[in-house]
Amino acid sequence: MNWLIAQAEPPGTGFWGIEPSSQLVWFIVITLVVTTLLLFAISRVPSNLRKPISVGITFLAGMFYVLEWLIPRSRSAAGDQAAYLGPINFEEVVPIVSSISQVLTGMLLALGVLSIFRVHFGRVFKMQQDWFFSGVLLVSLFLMVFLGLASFAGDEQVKRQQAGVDAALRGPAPAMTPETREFAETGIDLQATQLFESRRAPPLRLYQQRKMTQEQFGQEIAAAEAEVATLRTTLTASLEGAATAGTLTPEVAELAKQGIAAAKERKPLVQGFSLLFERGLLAMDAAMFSLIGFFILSAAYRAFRIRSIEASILMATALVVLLMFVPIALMLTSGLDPDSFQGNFRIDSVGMWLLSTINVPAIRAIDLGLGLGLLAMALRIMLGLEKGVAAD
Amino acid sequence: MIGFLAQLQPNNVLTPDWWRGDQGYPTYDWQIMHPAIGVAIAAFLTLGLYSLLYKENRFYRFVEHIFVGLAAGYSIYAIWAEVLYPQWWKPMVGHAAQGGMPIEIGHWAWAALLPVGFLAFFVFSTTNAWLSRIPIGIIIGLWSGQQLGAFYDRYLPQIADTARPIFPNSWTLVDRNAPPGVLAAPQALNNLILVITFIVVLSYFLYSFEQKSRLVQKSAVAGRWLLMVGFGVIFGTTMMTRFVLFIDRAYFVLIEWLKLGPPN
Amino acid sequence: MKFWETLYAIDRRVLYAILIVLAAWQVLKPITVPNVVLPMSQSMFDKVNTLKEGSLVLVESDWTTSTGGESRGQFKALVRHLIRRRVKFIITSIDPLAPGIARIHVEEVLKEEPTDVARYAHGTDWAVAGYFPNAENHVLSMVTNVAKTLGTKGITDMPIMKGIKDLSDFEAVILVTGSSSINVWYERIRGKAPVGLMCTAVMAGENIPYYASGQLFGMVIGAKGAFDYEDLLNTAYPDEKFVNYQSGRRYMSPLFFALVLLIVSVIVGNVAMVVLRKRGVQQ
Repeated sequence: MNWLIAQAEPPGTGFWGIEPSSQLVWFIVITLVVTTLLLFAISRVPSNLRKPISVGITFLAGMFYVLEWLIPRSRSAAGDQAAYLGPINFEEVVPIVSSISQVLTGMLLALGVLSIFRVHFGRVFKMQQDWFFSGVLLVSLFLMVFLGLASFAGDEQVKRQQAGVDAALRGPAPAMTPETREFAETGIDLQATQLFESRRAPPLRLYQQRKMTQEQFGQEIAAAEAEVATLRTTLTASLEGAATAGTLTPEVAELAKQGIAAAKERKPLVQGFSLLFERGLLAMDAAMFSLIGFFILSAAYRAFRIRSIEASILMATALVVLLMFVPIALMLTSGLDPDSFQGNFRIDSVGMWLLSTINVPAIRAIDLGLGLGLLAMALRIMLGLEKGVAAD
Repeated sequence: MIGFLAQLQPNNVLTPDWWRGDQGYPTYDWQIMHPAIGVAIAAFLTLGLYSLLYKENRFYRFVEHIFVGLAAGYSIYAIWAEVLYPQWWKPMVGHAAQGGMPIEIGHWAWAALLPVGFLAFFVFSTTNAWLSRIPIGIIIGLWSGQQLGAFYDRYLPQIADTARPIFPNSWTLVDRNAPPGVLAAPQALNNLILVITFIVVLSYFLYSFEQKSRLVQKSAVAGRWLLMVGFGVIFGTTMMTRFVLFIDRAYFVLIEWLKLGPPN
Repeated sequence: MKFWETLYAIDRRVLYAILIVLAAWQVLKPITVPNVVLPMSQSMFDKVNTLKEGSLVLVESDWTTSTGGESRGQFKALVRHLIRRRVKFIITSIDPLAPGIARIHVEEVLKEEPTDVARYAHGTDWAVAGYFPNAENHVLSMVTNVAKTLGTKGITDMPIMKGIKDLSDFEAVILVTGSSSINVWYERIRGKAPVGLMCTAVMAGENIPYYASGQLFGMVIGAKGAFDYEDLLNTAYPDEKFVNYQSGRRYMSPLFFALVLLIVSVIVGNVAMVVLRKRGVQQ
């Protein structure tokens, strides 16, 4: 499996790893064709072989981690503990298998997206009921994908540009280009902005909490602006010096790298993505889940009826726990000394006793039952006994 | 108590920050819109969703569909940017040395994952749906293989912690300065209650055979009652979580958007 | 009689309106009372307090704004504590939205910290590794070979990863989550690093057994836990220049009144049911 492991190491071409070239493209295409043909051949097997194939694959996948857990650790060549099965070092292979699993999971998630497309494109094209809302959904979806990928492309460009600055700095005669100068100026602007915001935040907080007057706040801002002006002057002088000499210095290189990242964040498309993410998606995500509280309140009023001993116990425990997690309620018994006998009747003491002496074993018993069930199901899946997973 | 009651009385007129001349938003030339507009958009969408509380309406449906669209779109972006690109595409194609970035060789064998992943789409096929079990089987198989170790690591410490000493060796009340190994009577009693609770709750879940013995029947009833304590904890804490989520949104609308009071 | 019938059949929107008014009143005029810190919050704080300057912690941030009311306060308090102790941290996540949210809030905390404290630099003192979709395989991969796992996210070359070969090189793993992602860590950690949990209140009941058994070194539960942590931060860093209290303390009094409303609703509903049943009225 060394060919998959070598991906993180310095270039070392071999049969499994090839430099980016037309040869690599051909190898990828051939791999795709060969794998597709193989899977096509598998699809043509007699129907009595279908179950053994899918069950076999599931079993082998499961056995990987069973062996990884069972095989004792022995000292590796590097001196650390590792689990070995012949030449296979599980410490090296597990991240690869994890990547394979994550890639497959990512591809499977596309199924969910496909379902959304089928439903909503169908509604729009057939002009069915509520097609307008489906259109809104699709527009939002594609807008988010477009802006997200634009932001991502910007990230990759940032990495390339920053690497270019590092390479220029490492060169025999690091020279300052107009582009680098422009990025360095953006970097100076970024540092000035960050300094101003960090100097402004504490007095602004006090001002908004009415602990500072407007005049005092104005003075703090003026002091912050003066500090920022000094910083700008210093950094600009450093930049001008380097520009005059035509030499790229480490300080200017660092400013340029920061400026490259800042320039990307300031692009309209990236700002649009941030807006959609923070002010659109995150805000609605919070609001959607907060609606549940209202429905629970309504349900508690209409449906929670204390008709039995069990319901009484449930409500009494809920009451104690509710009071225990609210400081205003805890204040009612906070006068009792926790080290005295009366301290046992503090709300937090009673609550902690309920949690640690009754709740812990009760939940533990349920949990253990669930765990045994999951273990049994996992063994059934691996052995192909569970219907609907790997077998019919 | 007087101080507590005093806090309940409003003692000043609410003065929104936008009356006082500073909204706390940093504004720069390169911004495409004023930050206050972004906050207003978020508040508008939030109130749109809350309109459901009055009754189902088209405005709510409009905002709901925007939410689902954005969530699905972001998932697509995240799948590519966070998973497929760094863990599959980049290792597969590598990249040539450019600018200052060193060369990264491409490992063509990763290409085999694409047809395998594509098999999942055969779930829509009437004749070849079984092919979708191959990628699903790999993922579920890997999960299943982990369960042996998972059970050992998760539940054995739980069982070990349940096996607590129940016989005291000291009949005094709890003494925090007592040397290790001293088990006072109250703590032993707590341990006994814990062990008994664990056993009776487990007995409630014995469905494999008919509970003919009166002891087992009574134990199951007691187990059900004690289980209600656990459910009471879950019920109470669920209430708290849900209410705090709403309070957080109320803070956003009233303080961050309308600026009717000082922030945290 | 009509009173009880009307009360029993009250429109749910009246309840919603009462809840909104109570919450709005307390959000605008919160009542502040002294706090009693829960022992599990104290344990979490004490553990982070013992971490040495320059040590590294893995923070798995799986929360999103859907649980922001509780998780945001917990996360920001934790990050504040780590920064003040000069402990480095790497953030991973199994939710696609969570890394972006974590980054936003870490940057907020960095802005709020006093300006005379040395700045925390991304890549050197903290880093966001990103989103890993398959939780079980991700955690097992982290436990087996953390350097290669985090390497898939391109942070191996960052200074923060210097000298990190194994998960045992991390001083602690702390989860801030609104889901049951902690279960994956219980099952796979293999004792390599101590685990702490900051969870929503709804997860408290099922995770307290793990705190009792020692599988968790500390637990911060819900908004109360966030308030506990803020309180402890205020005790340790009482200087006015430090921002200690935020949503944890702010949300306590609205929560109290909301819960009082809930309890009154249950009592009134049951009393109305009993009264109407005694008078033989059809419900």
